[in-house]
Amino acid sequence: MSDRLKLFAPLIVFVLLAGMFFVLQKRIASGEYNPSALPSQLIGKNIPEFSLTVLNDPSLTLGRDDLDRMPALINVWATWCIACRVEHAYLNQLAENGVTIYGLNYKDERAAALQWLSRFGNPYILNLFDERGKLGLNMGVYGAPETYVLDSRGKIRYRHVGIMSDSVWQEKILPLGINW
Amino acid sequence: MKDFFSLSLNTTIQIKQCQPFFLLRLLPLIMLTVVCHSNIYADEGRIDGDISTASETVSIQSTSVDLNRQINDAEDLLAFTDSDQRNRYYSLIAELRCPKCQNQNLADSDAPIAKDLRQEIFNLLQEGLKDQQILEFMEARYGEFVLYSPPINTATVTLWFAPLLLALITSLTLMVRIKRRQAEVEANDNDKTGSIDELKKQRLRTLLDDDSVRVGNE
Repeated sequence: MSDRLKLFAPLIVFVLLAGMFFVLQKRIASGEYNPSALPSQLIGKNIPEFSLTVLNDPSLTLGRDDLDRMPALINVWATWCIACRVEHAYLNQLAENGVTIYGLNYKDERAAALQWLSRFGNPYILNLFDERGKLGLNMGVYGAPETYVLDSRGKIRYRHVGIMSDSVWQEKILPLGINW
Repeated sequence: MKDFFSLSLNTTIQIKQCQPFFLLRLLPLIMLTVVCHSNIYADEGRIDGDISTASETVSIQSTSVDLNRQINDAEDLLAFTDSDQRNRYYSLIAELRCPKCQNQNLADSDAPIAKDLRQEIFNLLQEGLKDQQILEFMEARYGEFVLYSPPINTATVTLWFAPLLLALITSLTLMVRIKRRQAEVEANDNDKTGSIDELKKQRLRTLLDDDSVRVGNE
């Protein structure tokens, strides 16, 4: 009897592995699990100090304390980023529903960014212009789009890497229990 | 002679018993083939449906190629103060991992973020930071992930010791199996050359004395 079981062992192992990979594949396809997403090092912390100009006003320089409407999202975007365009409609929708969204225009050109906003709508209450990616680097940004979730005390609670969507909002951000 | 016959008879029987199961053993392989094929077809379907995404991907890549040209131009201009600083720069970018192209180090990666991080490392070297401080700077922003040789702690203990454990298990299993096999071979040799034990003698005697098993006697 045990010899027979031994004969089936490879099959059993195969079925187990196939099942595991199948489930993983499903989770990756649905966006529930992203194997290349890195956890932010800033969870539970404030965003780093910065000194950046506002996108639509090069003469106005802001710092960390000027972002005072919390809770809020900080959305890292750029005109060279195709995925940012995909998520833009959803950001517009969030803004219409009263969610505060700060924009971090990341390694972009000012004119192109302003043109983008007038063309696709502006969901941001304020856009910081991070031409050199300095604040991005200090926040651990490694590609646009990224969206940081800040709670009412301004602490970073979550970082989403990739396209912002309704399922991300429902499954990842709402469970944080922030009162939007 | 009798031993030889019984042995060969045994082997034949074993093979006969095995044959249906032998096919079963191939089943995983067959299933794997089927699954691979179905995946290929599924992928083809997806590509057909998503031509627009494909072309967008191409445009992303072309943008990054342009960026890379700028990167390389810019990096040719890195002015190291001395060869020691140059060596430290190259060892640091070899030792740090790109967070975007996740299985490349900063030296190999063409991702824009890798270029930024290389520039940042150069700046930090110019500011006079020590190697350890630069590694800490990177870890504070991008996590332990960026260190190609992460420190040993609860999260990385598997990473460090699993290969050792696997090697240990494998060699132990091999040793046990080899020992067992050797014992079997030795026992076999004893059977052939050594004395026949009492039980077998008795069995032999009964067989020889038993008239009913004689063939062709009547």
